[in-house]
Amino acid sequence: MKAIRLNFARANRPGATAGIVALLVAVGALLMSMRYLDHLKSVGEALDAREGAIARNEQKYQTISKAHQQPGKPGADELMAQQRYAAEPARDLLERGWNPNIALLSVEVMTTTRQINVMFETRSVQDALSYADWIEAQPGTEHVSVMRQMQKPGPPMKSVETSLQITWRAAAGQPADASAAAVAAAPLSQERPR
Amino acid sequence: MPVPWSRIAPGLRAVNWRRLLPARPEQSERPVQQAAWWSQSTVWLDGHRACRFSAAGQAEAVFPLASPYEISAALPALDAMLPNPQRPGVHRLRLLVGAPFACYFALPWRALPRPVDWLPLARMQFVQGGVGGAESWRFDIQDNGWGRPRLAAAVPELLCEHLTRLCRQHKISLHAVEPAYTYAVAQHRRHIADGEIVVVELEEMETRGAYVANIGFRSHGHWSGFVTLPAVDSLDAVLRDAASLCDAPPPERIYIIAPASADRRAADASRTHWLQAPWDVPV
Repeated sequence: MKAIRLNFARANRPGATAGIVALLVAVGALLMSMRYLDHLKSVGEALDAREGAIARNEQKYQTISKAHQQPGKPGADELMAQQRYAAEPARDLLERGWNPNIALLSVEVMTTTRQINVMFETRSVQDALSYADWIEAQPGTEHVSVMRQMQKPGPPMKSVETSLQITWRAAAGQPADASAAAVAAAPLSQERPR
Repeated sequence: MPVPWSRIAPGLRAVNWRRLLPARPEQSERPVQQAAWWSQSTVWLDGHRACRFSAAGQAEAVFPLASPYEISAALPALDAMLPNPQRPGVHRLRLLVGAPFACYFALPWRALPRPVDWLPLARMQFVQGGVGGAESWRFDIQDNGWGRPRLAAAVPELLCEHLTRLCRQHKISLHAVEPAYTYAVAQHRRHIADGEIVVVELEEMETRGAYVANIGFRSHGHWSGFVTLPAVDSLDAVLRDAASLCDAPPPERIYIIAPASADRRAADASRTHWLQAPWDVPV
């Protein structure tokens, strides 16, 4: 049997159990909510950090793009030189494999995505494909795809128009004398028997 | 291999631990006990006598009231029974209030949350009982859950105030002022199985064999009725009267908390469980 005592020295006091339980529950809830707030704060800090990094990147790009408009500023020349040099590996890649049988129609170099869209014309399909193979074999090339190839029948002479999409490596790290060896290997398509 | 506890326990109980304690000379024990800085004593008060018990439960002193059932006679008895500690310290006092100075009420459930809200109900029952005005009595209502009836008790306000004043004067901490019935039931709560039961508490009056019976009815785990009757002859007749007064169904079991001197053949033996009263007041 559950017996509840009566005490006239402290009469008519309500039981303390419910209050104590409520207090403990409240303290627990407070701790949980504080921990949750901390968690939310850390998530917010991580988001802020990411946003800050993105903003810094964007600012860098903007200073680069603004460097053209305000010549003579300290550092602007350097930035422009950097930007000019950014297309240099792509141009080098195309030039080294070029031979007089290839007529470049258009070259589009995108430094941000490291892509080159080339459209060129050759006398035969073999010429075009060997040029693409040579580019793919280079250590500075990441990926080559032939986008479109079209044979043109013509009264003066037949020709093949090819468009390639090339992705080059950012830091191929080629040694200085590697270009000479590459040039020596380049006119392979010329010597190949038709 | 771990040895099960059930095999260790009897051996542990059989060991005489007291023998392992360092021996203490008998002479030095007595003064230490007398000048203790800590003590606990219980004072019993009913309509005929006041009595003081030590912490062990032995009766230390008895003081008969000059005129029975009078509150004015009870106050000097309390004065005489108050323990007088030799040394300052923690001295706790519990007062148990017996028959004419404690009234009990079973209050049916009302939607009242706090014990204080139940006070008017208890006062109303008190006045309907015809004892007198409710102003000079202090009421205490047990706190219980929602939807449960309450048991309330009342003792004279004068008694409580006088005792509080006395305790402050004697530097005794008044631990509790408890009505005898709830104290006895709380002491025996492990031996009382709940159900449709009657819990009877007998307090001896002036002469042996004459009792005041506090009779509480319980059903569904709540106090459903309470009545106080004199029990001079057969207990069965008293219980029958109580059942008809409280409009209670015949009980499954009867628990009787009585002093050791009570005649145990006085009630229906098949349903009755006798329990020893936690006090032993000499008559």
